[in-house]
Order: sequence, then structure tokens, then C-alpha cells
Amino acid sequence: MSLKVDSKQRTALMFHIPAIVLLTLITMVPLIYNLRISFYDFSLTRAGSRDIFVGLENYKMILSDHEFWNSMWVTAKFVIASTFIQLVLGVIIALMLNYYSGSLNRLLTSLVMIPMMVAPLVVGLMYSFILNPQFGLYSFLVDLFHLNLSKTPLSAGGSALFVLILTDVWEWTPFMALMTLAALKAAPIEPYEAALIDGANRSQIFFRITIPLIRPVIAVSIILRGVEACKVFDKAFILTGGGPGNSTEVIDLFTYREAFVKYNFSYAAALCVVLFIIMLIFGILYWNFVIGKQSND
Amino acid sequence: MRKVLLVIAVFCLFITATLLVAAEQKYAGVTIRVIAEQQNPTLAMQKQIPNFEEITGIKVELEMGPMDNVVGKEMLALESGTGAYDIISIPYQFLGQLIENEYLQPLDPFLNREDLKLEDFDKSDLISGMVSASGEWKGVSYGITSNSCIMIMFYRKDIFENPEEKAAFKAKYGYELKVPVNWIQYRDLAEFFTRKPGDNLMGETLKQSFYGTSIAGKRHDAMTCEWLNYAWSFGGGIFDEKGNLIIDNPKNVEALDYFKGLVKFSPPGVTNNTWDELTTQMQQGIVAMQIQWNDCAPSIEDPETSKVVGKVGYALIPKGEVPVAHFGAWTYFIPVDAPNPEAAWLFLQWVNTYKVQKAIALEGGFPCLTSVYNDPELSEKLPYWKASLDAYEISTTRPRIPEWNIMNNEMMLELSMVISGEQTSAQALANLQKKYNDILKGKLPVAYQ
Repeated sequence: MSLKVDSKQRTALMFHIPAIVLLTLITMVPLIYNLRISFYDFSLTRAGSRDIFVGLENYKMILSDHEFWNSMWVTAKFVIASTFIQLVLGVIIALMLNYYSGSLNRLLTSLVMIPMMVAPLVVGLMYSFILNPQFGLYSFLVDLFHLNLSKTPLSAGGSALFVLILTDVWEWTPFMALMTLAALKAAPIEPYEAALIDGANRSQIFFRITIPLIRPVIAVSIILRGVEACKVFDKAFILTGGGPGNSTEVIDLFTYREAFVKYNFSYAAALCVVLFIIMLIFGILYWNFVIGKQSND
Repeated sequence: MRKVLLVIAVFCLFITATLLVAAEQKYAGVTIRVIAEQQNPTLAMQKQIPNFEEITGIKVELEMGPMDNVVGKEMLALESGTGAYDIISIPYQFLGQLIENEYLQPLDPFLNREDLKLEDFDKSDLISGMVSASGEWKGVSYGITSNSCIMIMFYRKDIFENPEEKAAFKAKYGYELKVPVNWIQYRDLAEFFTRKPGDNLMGETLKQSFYGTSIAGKRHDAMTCEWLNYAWSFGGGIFDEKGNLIIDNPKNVEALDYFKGLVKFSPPGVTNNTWDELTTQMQQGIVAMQIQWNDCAPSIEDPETSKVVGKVGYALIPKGEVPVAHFGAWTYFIPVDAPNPEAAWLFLQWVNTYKVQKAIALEGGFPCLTSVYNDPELSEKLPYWKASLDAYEISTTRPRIPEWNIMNNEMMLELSMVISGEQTSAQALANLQKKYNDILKGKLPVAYQ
């Protein structure tokens, strides 16, 4: 079989070439370089180390690295908890927004979107000020209302991770809400009318009609948020630096430490590859379960 | 004949004159690239650069940034050998690593070159202890200190001298309230000055809590830097005299227990404290004393940022078995791949002239020239000057071996887990002993550090 390209397609190809070249340069080249150095013993602190080939040694080390498994576990807890809370709150907010219409709806939607527009680094800084034990709003409120709460939630492992999850929920719930709202707005009215005629009650309508209608959008949002949450770095870096101990050391922070604090570039590159593979598996699962199912439907 | 002689004489004069000018103007037109941490001393030096450019005709491109960025860039440049910098400033604990990789040029050949000597530079004026601690490796000189600091004790002079507080302290502890000289007194004072809202301090009712001390408990360099003072002072440390690992030594355990014991006399949230938070707490007037880097003192004495200007005293940190003061420094080095090493050497000399060093000192830096340290104007103007001088006399340095960076990172993690209560001091130090043994496999005992 020969590929036939007519002149129209050739012209189209010409227009695409700059973008293809640029994307290859800025994504594929670093990716391949990263893959390459992950098989070497490249450390910035050892001269000539970039030429020492070690094969799969870095990958073997990762598997037996206690710190790696700890950071994977911390990341898993973070991703599951923050995505789940965002989903629940997001759907509730979307249903509430959907209830109002007209200018009130537009106003509320705009207000809800504000946290999402703040850079994650700024969110981290903001919360670090709010939670400052001496001058922060949080300890002021704890004092004012005599609350039985720790004034330093960032000082204990469990509550520090909880705070981290909370900041993510604060920032990204609007995203879930907006996605769900869009799905609700796009949902056809007929099934609802039919259900009402058949005498369905509110909860039946919600679980049997609304949820199935918005399910594909929710699935996409969960995947998008999940993948994003796996990449959390800024907030953890600013708020806790991975501490206390290593209780909030998410995988990206761990990789950062290996690369830019310990200068073990090859090891960090191998970590990136492992993370990439994990993401890829999620991607494939998503493709099979969500996209595949939809096309079957 | 006479004409010929005259021409020869004029020619000789001309050559001599050229040679004389040469030292300073020999590299006019050259551009050198310098990289250093963005800190008060570097900024003060930056202001003086036009003077260097005028004297030598050499153009200086100075790059500055925060610590991790600067060190990362330097390491990358050195590893790839691109000749990106003529001078790098880097903390001294990286020295062993840099030497092992043959990244640096020895300074000795430059120090003896008369044709490259700047008139105002006097090498005998350099504080030899400081320069050797921060730039010398196995008897060879590689660099000159760019900015140094040392750990001393900051304490609230006004509170320590208050008669009511003095009387109350004596009644409770049975001895006079004075600047603590040992760790028992330091702990007693930390306990004594920790007060709740509603309690009295210097005859006034407190609206918010006041704390005896504050420690740096974040998983950060600041914590290991502070704790090492206690460890050394308690008679522990990382290596013994022979270079064997002693990190799990009972004295270190005692020092770590003591360090953790100070948490209850510190403002809440010690796990977020680095030297920056400690400085803020002192500036806000909510702590009585702390072990701090002397380069944080200028901000304590800055009326724009501090509520306690003139109220803070500076002294040596308390003494345990041995007097110690943790010395920290960044050092200027000339990399082997520096495109213009001679011009770089002229710059290094110029930075270490009296005029430049004094300007740096006046803006919060610490010089490496004896003459500037002894300048009466500085000791009069700067309340932290005398304590700093005393501290340099007893300074102690971190290991400078190539593995230290990784060892330090492990120490941050283990200590942090002690402060947050996830493990005991003994567990943490036993873990460290095991980790350090792995890291230093085949290199023990460490003969030179």
C-alpha cells in the first residue's frame, strides 16, 4: 500500500511541520534524554559520572528504596482523598449553581472560580500565612472561639497531610463544580420529563437520571484531577517541605530532592520514568473503562 | 650616539611604565562572570563593582540567586565544563567534592605572582583561620571566603537586666539571672521566661504568650546547623579524632534529647522554623533567647523590621564540655575551566581590600580581613561585633568531605522525625549511624575532613 498525498494534504502538512518540530524539540527530546540518563550513574557531584552506564541499577534501587515507597503511599493518600472530596463538594456546588439561573448564576459561578485562578505556589504561601502559629488567622480563630484544635496542624504528620489535602480541595473543587455544571446544563430535558410523568421521586431522578447523564464528564474530571494531584509539588514544598519527617513527602518532592538537593540526576530520572509508567497505566485503564465503555454504549 | 641612548632610555621607561600599569589594567576589556548567593554581603559588594571596573577595566557580570539555585547552577556548569563562570561562590562544605572532581584551580600560583598583584590587597591581612576553614584543602589554598557567618546567642538584654525578673529568677532557681554560660542555665532560663497570656513580664501583663527560646525544627539545613552546636558542645559530633563515625554516641543522644526538650519553651510550630522564622520571632519580641547565625543580627537591629532594636545582647553560645561556635561560609573559587582566571584573581584581590570589606561589613556582612574586624568604627556601631569576634576564636566546622551533602540530608530527615515525635533520639542516631556507614563504605576512618 502506498501513501498518496495530494497537494492539499501536502500544504496542510507544511503548515503542521513547525508545530510538530517544536513539540518534538520541547517534549520528546527531553523525554528521551531523561530515559537515557536513567540508565547511567549521572550525578552532578561526581565528575565524569554521566558516562558511567549502570543499566537497570537505578530502577532496582528504586524498588528497594524505603523512601520511595513512603512517598508513593503519601501521594496515593493525597490523590485519593483530595480527588474524592473535590468530587463530592464539586457535584453539590454544581447542583446548587444549576438551581439558580440568570445573572445570579453567572455571579456565583464567577465567584466560585476564584480559587482555581490562584497559582498553586501562591495558595501554598497563603495557607502558610493563615496557619502561622504566631501571626496567622487560624490560630487567632482557635483562640477566639476556644476551639479544641491543635494550633500547629503542620507540626504533626497526619494533620500536615490533611492540611495539604485541604489546600488542594480549596483550590480545585471549583474545577469539579464547573465540569459538572457544564454536564448538567448540557443534559437533555426529555428523560426528566419522562421520569416525572412516570412518578419518580427526587432521589430516584438524581441517582437514575442525573448521575448516569453526567457520569462521562465526572469520569473525565476524576482522571484529570487525579493526574494533576499526582503532580502536586508547589504546595507541599512551601507548606511543609515534605515534613515533619517525611509525612508529606509526595513523589514529586522526593524526586526534586534527589535531583536538585542531592544532585543524583540519574536516580531522579529513573524516578520520573517510573512515575511516567504509572501514569501511563492509569491512562490506559481510563481509556478502556471510560472511553471504551462510552463507544460501546 | 646620545640620540640612540635617549631613545633606548625612553623605550625602557615606557616598558617599565607599561609593566607597572599592567597589574591593574592588564586585562582591561575582559568580561568575567561571577555567581554568588543573593545575600546582604553580595549586594553590598555589587554596589562597589563600578569601582573595580574603573580600576581594572574588567567588566563584571554578577549572577545572584537563592542557595539551592546557585549551587545547582554551579554544579551543572562545573560538571559540564563549559567555562560558564570565572568565579563561583559556594558553601565550604562542598569543598571536598569540588577538589575530588578537580573542578578548582589552586590559588597558590596566583598568590605569588607579583605581576598580578593589586596594590591595595595584603594577603597577610586575611584571617588565616577563616580562609583555611573555608578555602583550604590538605594544605593547598583554593579559595577566599566570600561571606562568612558564625553561630552565637541572641538574648533580650532588657529582660535579662530587669530587677524584678532577676529577683524572681533567684528566688526560683537559687542563683543569679545572667547570660547563660552552660546548657543547664540555658534550659533554666528558657523555662523561666516561658509565659502565658495574663502572666507578668517585666512588671507588665502579657497579652500574648512569651517564650524562653526558639529552635529551628524544620527539615532543613537550619536544623542540622543548629543541632550540631549542641552535639559538639556536649562532647559528641560526627567523627572522633581518628575519623571514626560516632553519630550514635550517647553524648549525641543527650544533645538531641536536650534540643528536643527546648520545644516546649519555644513558640508553637517549631517544625516550620528555619533561621528566617527564628529571626522574625526575635524581631517581634516574643522570645527571650536563641542560638542563631550572626548574619541574622543586622535584621534584628534594623528599625524598619524589628521591634527590639537596641534591646538584644549577643554572646557566645553556652558551653558544655567544649566551647563551640558553628562556622558557616561561602567561598569564592576559580574553576579550572574559568575563561579568564587572571582577571578573576584580580577580582578576588579587589573584593578583599579594606575598602570593599568595610563596605560589606557596614551592610550586614562579615569580613575576612583582620584590619576590618579591628576597625573601632565597626565595633562601636554594630552590637554583635564583639560576640562574633569571640566566636571566630573557637569556631568549629562541618565535615567538608564529598559525602557531606547526602549525609546532611539524611540528618535533616532523622532529626525532623525526632522533633515531630515520630521516633526517639536514640533511634534517629542509630539510623544515622547505619546510613552513614553505608554512605562512607570503604572510606572510614575519614582521615581528612
